[in-house]
Amino acid sequence: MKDSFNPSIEPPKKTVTLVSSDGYDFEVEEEVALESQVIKDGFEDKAVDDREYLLFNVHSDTLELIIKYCEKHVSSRKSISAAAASSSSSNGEEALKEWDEHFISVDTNTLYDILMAADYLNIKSLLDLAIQKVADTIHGRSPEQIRKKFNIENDSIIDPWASE
Amino acid sequence: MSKGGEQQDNEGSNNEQNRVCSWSLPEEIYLNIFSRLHIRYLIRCRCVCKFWHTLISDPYLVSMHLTHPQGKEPDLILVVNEYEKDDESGNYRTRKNLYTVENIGCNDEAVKPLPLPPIDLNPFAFCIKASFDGLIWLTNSWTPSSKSFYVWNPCTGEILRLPSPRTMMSKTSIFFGFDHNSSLNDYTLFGLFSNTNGSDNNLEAEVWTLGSGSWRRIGKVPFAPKFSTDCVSTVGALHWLSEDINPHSVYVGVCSFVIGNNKEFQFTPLPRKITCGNRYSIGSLWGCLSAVDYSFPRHIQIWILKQLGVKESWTKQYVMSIDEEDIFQLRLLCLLKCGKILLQYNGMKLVSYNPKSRKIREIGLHRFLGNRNLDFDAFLHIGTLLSPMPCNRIVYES
Repeated sequence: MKDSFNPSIEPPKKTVTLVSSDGYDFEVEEEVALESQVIKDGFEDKAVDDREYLLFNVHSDTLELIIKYCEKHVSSRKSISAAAASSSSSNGEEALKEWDEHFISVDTNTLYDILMAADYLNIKSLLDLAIQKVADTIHGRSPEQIRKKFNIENDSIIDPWASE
Repeated sequence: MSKGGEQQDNEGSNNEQNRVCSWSLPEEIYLNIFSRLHIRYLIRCRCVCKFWHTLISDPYLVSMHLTHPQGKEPDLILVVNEYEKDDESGNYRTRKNLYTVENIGCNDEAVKPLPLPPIDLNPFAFCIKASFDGLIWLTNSWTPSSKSFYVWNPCTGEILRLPSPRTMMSKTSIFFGFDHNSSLNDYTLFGLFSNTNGSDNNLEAEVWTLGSGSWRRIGKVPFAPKFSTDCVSTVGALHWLSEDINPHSVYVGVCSFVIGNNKEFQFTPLPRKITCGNRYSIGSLWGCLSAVDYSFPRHIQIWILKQLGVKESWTKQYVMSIDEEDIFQLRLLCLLKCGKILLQYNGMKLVSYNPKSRKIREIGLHRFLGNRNLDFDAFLHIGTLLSPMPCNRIVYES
């Protein structure tokens, strides 16, 4: 049964529930969840009452990080556009870039989980951030160091150009 | 392996090693990652594992690598002329050495020697004719009779010897250009030839495409190159400075060869009527033809042509002041991704111009190449795994 609608109280912010692969519920604001193109697409197709999304491929540890990222980006976008509207100078974009950089400085396994989740949920900016991080990690490393870093088995054939 | 510039892994055997994470990403994510890497590291990645090797050999990666907005800045290839005394004859001669310049515009340029290709190349006589998308077109000698052409990818070492164009039998070459035909996704080499007596009516052109592996005669060329034999490529066209002579007057302008177009040659007069002593060169910015006017001391104007053949579509883009009294030669090399413009002038100075701060910074090559009187040719180079071999090419339907 639904709660009775009381017009005198300010309507609460719309929320949706995201359920991780290991069964944890995360209640988030709708606009935060809509950062994911997959949820956004699904949202437009779904009946209004159905506000629960089962994310079979995303573990709760990763989902927590993803939500943190989306919340930060939603709030930053608001403050950047507010600053632009009042034409006051703001270094919001710089600060967000710095925040992103700090956010993505994680160990390789977490980076992999974020990458897979961002791809699955289709969060373009996060996917881009994670991909750039992997590219930066590869940059300057030898094949052996890359294998160690990403836990890749060496089944390689000899490549005459690999030495440089 | 502990080369300079490599990162050090200090993790050792920490917890990361305990959980086995196989890194089985979707192919398009791998391609996205690889397309952001500098060619040097991409080549190293080929021998990480068989799967990576297969992915990196995908011809689709070549075009991704060239167009990726987060890709690296282009490198430069320098042909540095170094004078040395011949012990036998006692005469001085010019040895040509190749170098690559990396990290241009980032204030930490690195200059590295580039070994000559693995063919019998005369280090005193070879000549780079054109460079495009990671491929370099070179000839092994100045003498027309013994000239051979090569297309070389210095990143992979692959090199292809081309047959001589038929026109070469009776005429000498003036210049060559290299461009990409996006509708066919194929590369075109353009050669312009004239009779040795110098008569302009005897100009002929031939093109060679990587896909076909053969030369095709274009026929007579209406506009002869003037002032310089630099050939500039923009998207789908090649350009050189020329003049249009009609009964009423002479216009100095640019002749453009549009690849795959029936109206192959087009002429656009320069933005300003040229008079004696004017100095112009041409280049490419944002894929458009640009004209650089350096007639006035200490200042340079850069124009952009919005539409080929339309003189009124020249737009003045930049006016920069430069602390140099006499510029007798200037080449606009490229617009870097960081927004700076790369220029070479007087044969030995390489500078980047920042349009925002209006500052010019000299790219000091002396600390790498020694403090001598340098004289070099600079070619833009975006390293790719593009193969010059016709059999390795996959031509996409667009």
